[in-house]
Amino acid sequence: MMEILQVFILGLCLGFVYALMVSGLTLIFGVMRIVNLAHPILIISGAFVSYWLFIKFGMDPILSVPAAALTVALLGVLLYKLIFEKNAAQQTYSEMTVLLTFGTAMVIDGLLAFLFHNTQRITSPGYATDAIFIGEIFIPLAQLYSGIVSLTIIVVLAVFLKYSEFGIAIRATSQNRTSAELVGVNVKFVCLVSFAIGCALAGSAGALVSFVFSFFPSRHWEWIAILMSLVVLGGMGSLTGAVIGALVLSVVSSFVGAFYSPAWSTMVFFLALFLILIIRPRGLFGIKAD
Amino acid sequence: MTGLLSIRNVTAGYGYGPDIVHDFSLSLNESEVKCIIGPNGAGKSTLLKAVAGILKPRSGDIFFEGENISGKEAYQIMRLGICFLPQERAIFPNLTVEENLRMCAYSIKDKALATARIEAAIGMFPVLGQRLKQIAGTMSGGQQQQLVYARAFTIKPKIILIDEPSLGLAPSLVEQTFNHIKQIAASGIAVMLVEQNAIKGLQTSGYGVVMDLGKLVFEKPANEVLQDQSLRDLYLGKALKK
Repeated sequence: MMEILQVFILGLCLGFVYALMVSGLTLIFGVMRIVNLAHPILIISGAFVSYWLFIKFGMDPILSVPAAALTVALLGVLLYKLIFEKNAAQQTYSEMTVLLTFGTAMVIDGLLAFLFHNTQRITSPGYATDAIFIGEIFIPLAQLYSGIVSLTIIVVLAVFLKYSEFGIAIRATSQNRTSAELVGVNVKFVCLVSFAIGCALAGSAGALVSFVFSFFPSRHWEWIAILMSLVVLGGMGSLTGAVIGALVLSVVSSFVGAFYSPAWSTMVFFLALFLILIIRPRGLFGIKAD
Repeated sequence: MTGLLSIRNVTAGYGYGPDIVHDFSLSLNESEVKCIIGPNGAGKSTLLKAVAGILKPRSGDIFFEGENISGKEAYQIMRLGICFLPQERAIFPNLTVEENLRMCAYSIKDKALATARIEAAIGMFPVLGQRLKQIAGTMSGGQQQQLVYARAFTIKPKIILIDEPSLGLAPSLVEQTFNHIKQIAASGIAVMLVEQNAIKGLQTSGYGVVMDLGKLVFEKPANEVLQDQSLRDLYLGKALKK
């Protein structure tokens, strides 16, 4: 029984981190129909910002979350202005973005490899190898802290989207661009800001995974598949769906890892992807295409 | 040709396609109600889209209160005071009624005024007040229509452009919808209406504008258009002849 609870808690902590990783991706898809395959490399860029600040100044990766978020958001604004904005009116925009972001991912991957080399890195603050015990349950502090901070950021994002005027405008735009424009929403500006927010989420997720997983520039190829499966599972563009999908799959995958074999735990994400595409292609919380 | 809104020699079309509206001119004065009628494909909706800024005119100018608005973005035109209600999805079906009303008032920068306008709109359509937390798309057709027209009273634009208000509505809703349009006109907002149900549209309007193949055929007081037998045959459909 204790063992089950143990695995569940570990899965949940990681689940919140996955949820944060996927939230920016799903926001960007929802508002702009950009399938951002460069999202994972942006996460890794955020991780490198944290890593660099830790190595140079000994800065705690949790404290460097804002710096990583800001750096990646600025990078995002630059990318958006350079490659996305002028194509937004194209009929085949969504399809185009797959190739555009794939190319972008390769460029950033190469750039990071050039700057930092493709060796395994991990930010190692004091608590990274520490753990606490609650009764018989053992919780590594790295997972616990990154899970809690991820959850906090997701809650802040959800409150912003739900209650703020601008948040409602973002949701309105993701439902229908023209209708939003017709009530006076500057859709181009909303898109730019949403893209920046999505990238900031990627950057902060990067800072938080930098002490949980070891990373190197080309690791993002592996995360693309996991994150895309979460977006599809939740329903393209649904934040609630993506978060729930991330929690469920992360918990299931940690059970598979603990009771069967860690080698099979990643398989859970792809199995879920296949099943959802067969049974319910619009995802758990997806809205029927119109 | 002057007026609140003045469309001058506008030509418009979609993508690389042919011109749908050809060299079209029309004006609209304050508190005037004009109904544009004509067969399918005459370019009526295209004209409204060009005025609202969803579609950029290929040539010609559109003046609103003396300012040329023909190159502006749709949201800028809306903020100047021209509200466009498209054929479908004039509301956000997945947002709650309250969020829809807040989006209607989005362009009002004074938040106290925005709240007051939303409350005034709820005062006119009390049903919406009872359903603030409901997802708009789950309301009945009639309630959704009320939400659509609540926008006019929230924004209080100078002009409202309405594209096919009765399209796809049940007969009982058509009556309700035209009552909302009359309410809007009575509040002093100028209305430019495109309507397939020509009889109903003309009965609501001061002027009838007949459009065919993207061109203006003529413009006359609405009651004259309604009484003209040859016009009824040509543009209002023979089936309607009693």
